[in-house]
Amino acid sequence: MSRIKEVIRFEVVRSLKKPSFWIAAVLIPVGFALYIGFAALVGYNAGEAMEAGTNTTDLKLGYYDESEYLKQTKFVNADEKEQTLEAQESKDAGIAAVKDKKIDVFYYIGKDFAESKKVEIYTKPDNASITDDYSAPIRNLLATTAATNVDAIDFAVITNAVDYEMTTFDAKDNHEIDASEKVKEIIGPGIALVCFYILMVVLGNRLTAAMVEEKENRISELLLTSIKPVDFIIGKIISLMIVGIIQLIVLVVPMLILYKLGQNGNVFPDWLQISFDFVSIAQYMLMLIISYFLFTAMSVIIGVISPTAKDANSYSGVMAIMVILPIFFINVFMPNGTSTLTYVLSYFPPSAPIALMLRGVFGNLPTWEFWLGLADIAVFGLLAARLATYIYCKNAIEFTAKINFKKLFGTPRKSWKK
Amino acid sequence: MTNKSDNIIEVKHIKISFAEKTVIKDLSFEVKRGEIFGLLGSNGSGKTTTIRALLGLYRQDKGELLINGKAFEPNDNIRIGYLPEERGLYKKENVFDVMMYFARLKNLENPKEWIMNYLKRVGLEEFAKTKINKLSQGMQQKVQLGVCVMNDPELLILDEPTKGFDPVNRRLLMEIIEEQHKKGCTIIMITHYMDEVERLCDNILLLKNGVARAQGPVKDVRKKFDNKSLDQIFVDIYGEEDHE
Repeated sequence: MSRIKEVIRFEVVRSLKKPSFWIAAVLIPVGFALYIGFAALVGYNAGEAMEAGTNTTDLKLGYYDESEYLKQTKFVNADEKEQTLEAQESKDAGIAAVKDKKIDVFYYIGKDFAESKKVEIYTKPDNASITDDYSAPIRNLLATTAATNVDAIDFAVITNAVDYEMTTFDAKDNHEIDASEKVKEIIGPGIALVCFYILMVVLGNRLTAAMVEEKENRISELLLTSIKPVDFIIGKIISLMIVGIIQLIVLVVPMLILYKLGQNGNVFPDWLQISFDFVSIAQYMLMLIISYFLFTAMSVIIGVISPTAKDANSYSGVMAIMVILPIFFINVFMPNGTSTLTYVLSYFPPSAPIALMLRGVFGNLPTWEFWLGLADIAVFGLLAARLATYIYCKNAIEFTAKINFKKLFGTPRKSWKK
Repeated sequence: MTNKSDNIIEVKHIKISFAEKTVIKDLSFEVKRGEIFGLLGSNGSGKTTTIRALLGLYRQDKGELLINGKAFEPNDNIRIGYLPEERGLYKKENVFDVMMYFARLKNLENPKEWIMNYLKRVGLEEFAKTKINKLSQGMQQKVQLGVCVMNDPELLILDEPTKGFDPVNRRLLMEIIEEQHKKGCTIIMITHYMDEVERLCDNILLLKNGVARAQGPVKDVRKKFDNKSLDQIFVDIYGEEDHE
């Protein structure tokens, strides 16, 4: 046991000492932080900006309404301050005033407004930008005028100001489905899915490389007179798991902190304002860890059957395709797309993690299937780890040749049996 | 009749095959406690295979390979030092960390002290924090040798220990071997250098085509071959292969 501990300590410490580990680990939270920082810095909220347009508080606004449609010229701007449009003598006078910087924005409504339905806007900003939009004041005034001309209900219908409140009943028991509850349910599997994918991308190659390292560097023989192969491989698997979990913590914790900060700072769009269901998150974190264990064990098998990292990489590619297979058949995981393939992919060990997480995201994973799927992943993870150990015991000092399966499944030496 | 406790190693009628090829046909020998034993033979004669089987790295088809009366397991109490033919280290780690890892695996007491003393002795003290891949081949060999002898082994197995060593490192290696031997360590040496064998070995075994062609004390083997030098005996035995 103490030797297993030594393997774990050595492997974990040297992984944590590698700059590449931290670069990979912090890249995503840093990207997320940059997004929040940028959003906070420019005070940019896409939804509000679209609605409010460019702030006009400090601007002098002029207009000339040849059609005489406008009933009033006072409006409340984005800063909730009252502003008034100054009347100009003519279109040309208004344009000249803009050019001479007497006013900042000039709105011209032509005589044929009823036909053209067009308002011309003239401006001369110090720093012209394509994102500047000065239409909000005139839109505001036109809408107010329109509201005085028609029935309030007609106006609401025409301007799409009617609230549509939807109530959905569950197909099975007719209970009312709460949309925010649905969103909550998606968070757990969603986070697990994203984290699993990131772990696969960030650690996939490292797992197999770690397993062939002793062979490539011809260390196996030196090692195996000091430690049993079975102890060594157990130590390796546990250390790879620990490294993955640390990577996960490094990845998730800063993101959660940044998310909380961003939420408090109100820099997220509405769809990112989420409340959490911690039971669901805990369940799917468990699934994530067990899925990562299965992925580690499969990577270890690849590592132990391959004489070099190059050979391992070609096997890893095949494994990665099997793991992400459900993404190619995403429709079958939706509630109305369930078919035999849904269950095949949900219980075929390499594809099970992503398939089950996708079903969770689409709300198509009953609780009993969640636990059955989890058991399936765990059992196959253990079997894969056991197989990896067995193969390593037989193949630990095969430095050049690929694995000979005929030789592999002979009787192992008695001393190596656990 | 040999007293069993005198033998640290007993190999009894072993046969080892790989797929269709039988590497060791029928081999038996014993190594007495405290002696230096030379396992000799041309390339491919089965020397390394025998050692690997002895250490449990390969599985024999038949026979028994015993260290201290039982099949070897790394967790046994016997302290073994093994310098394999195919040897390397964690190239991206520094010297101290690698040696510390092996020291802990070998349950060394005061590993830090031992490592620093050893590095000082072999002139690598200032390279303790240098990555292995930044060291010269000769320096790496010194580290490997340190890993091999750090647990003060009762049994030291050296598979072509001087292969690739420059004369300075070779002398250092010989000093360490002799030092270990003086402490009572049993040494098994696989080598192609007959001068080393004549100088160091008490008993030898000449392996050819998976069977022992000759074995016993050096002087007895020489006597059997008309008192020729070991070099000449080697050429006589293995030179035949070129003409077969």
